Amino acid sequence: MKIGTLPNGGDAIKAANELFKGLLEKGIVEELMAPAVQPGGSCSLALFADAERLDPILPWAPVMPVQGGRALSKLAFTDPGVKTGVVLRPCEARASVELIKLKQIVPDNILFITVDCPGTCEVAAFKASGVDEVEGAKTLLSGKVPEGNNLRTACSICENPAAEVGEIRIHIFGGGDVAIEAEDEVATKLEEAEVVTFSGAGIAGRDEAVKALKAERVKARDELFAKFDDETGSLEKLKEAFSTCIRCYNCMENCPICYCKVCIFKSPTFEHTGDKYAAWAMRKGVQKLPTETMLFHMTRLNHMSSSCIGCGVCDTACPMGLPVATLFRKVAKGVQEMFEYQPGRSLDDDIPLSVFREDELQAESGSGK
Amino acid sequence: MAEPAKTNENFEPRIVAFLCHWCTYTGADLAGTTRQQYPPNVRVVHLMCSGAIDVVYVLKALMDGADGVLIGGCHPGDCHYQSGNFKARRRVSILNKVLEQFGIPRDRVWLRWISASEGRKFAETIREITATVKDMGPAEFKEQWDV
Ligand code: SF4
Ligand code: SF4
Ligand code: FES
Repeated sequence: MKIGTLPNGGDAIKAANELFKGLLEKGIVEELMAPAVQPGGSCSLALFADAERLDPILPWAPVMPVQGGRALSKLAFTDPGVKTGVVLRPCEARASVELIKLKQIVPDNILFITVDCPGTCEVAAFKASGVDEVEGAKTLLSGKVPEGNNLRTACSICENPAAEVGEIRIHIFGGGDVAIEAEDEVATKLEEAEVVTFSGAGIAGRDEAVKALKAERVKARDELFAKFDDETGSLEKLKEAFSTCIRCYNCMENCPICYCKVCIFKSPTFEHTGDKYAAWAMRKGVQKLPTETMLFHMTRLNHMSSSCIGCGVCDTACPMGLPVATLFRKVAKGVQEMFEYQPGRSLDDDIPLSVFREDELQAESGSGK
Repeated sequence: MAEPAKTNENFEPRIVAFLCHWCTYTGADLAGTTRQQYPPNVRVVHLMCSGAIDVVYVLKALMDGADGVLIGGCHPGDCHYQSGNFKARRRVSILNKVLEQFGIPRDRVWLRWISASEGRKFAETIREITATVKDMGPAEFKEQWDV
């Protein structure tokens, strides 16, 4: 890896956008996916091909309505055929790593650019607060939260907010500078094209700052999990907490890890015939509709929690404001620890459900020897 | 305090057993042909391999009438498809974590390795599960209308 700082004059957004312009102008990438402010306000992702039209890019957009990993699994499900840069937050980069392993992203033509992330606000609350998108981003970059907003729950407990994967990593934590770290091959290309120079020095206080932020987040996470267990620690209470779930599937549809083209819940297996509903009502006397909301969450937890990267997009997508991400992250933590697996860390770590060891999990599975 | 009433005495649990074709299903057959005694509470679902189990069917069984679920496969190393039982073991390990979060006791789901020659072990296993689940009472979900 090589490291250097970007000229920025105290403006991280401008520094990053200069870099992106250089990448497109010098043909290092031919298109670039990045968060952008739409003409009608509100942020989304966009795919930029014209170096003269990069103005809308806002790398630290204050909201994340669409998970970049999921978006990438659409545009690179098959090889885009042109060199494509993608600007991602750490959780989006982690999702992309999982999706590459799940064969949902063809990475050959993708240049991954990951940014240190100060967090995001909830989409609806941000819109209601009337804060300008760029101002909101700047406030977040300064370590504060825009007025009338909170950090999303998932962001407030995110222990991995630093750019740790990707060929190019943009550092902001630890000081007024903006640093760029790049894999040797990419760094050489960037230097040859005169896009950046790598002086060898990054942000002096970054390691310390990242460590402190992680510790703060771990504490917040453990407190939230303890509170969640207090409030939902029995089947009755958990059912109550999720009683307004309408099984709309938004949490699943927006989750980057839920990649199946047809979820079993949308398959004929769950298209019950009328006599089946009647049988439920007859047997129990009463049957709630929609049926099987708990089964849906439990099944999804079984299928994907080993790869949950904690982005919290499920929370954002839920029209009922249910604590989906807290539940999923809580279970995911136990599952991932059991397999000593950290999703999104490396392409070399196998997805837990795709491998096994011959001598393991006797106690956890209850199978004995 | 008075002795807690034994409400489960007359309760006959329903056990759904997902059994792999090559080992446990054949073991169950042997239990029958060798006249091993075991409770009639078990309903068998015949799978080719324990690795064919998806937890959605285990959970669905527990919500729709089963009080306990057995997943039976070949001993580690003996799976006729090499690794199906190892994969089942990973899935059940995850399932146990999920059940824990939902406050469902672990003894609702049993993973056991029973070979084609272990008719006696099959009968013993069914006796053990039936007795344990009888003590536990009906499955948490199945009578609830609001799940
Ligand atoms: S998005 Fe919310 S309401 Fe919709 S299925 Fe998920 S938890 Fe239920
Ligand atoms: S379950 Fe929620 S937090 Fe986890 S990866 Fe999916 S959307 Fe993100
Ligand atoms: S064939 Fe018996 S467990 Fe795979």
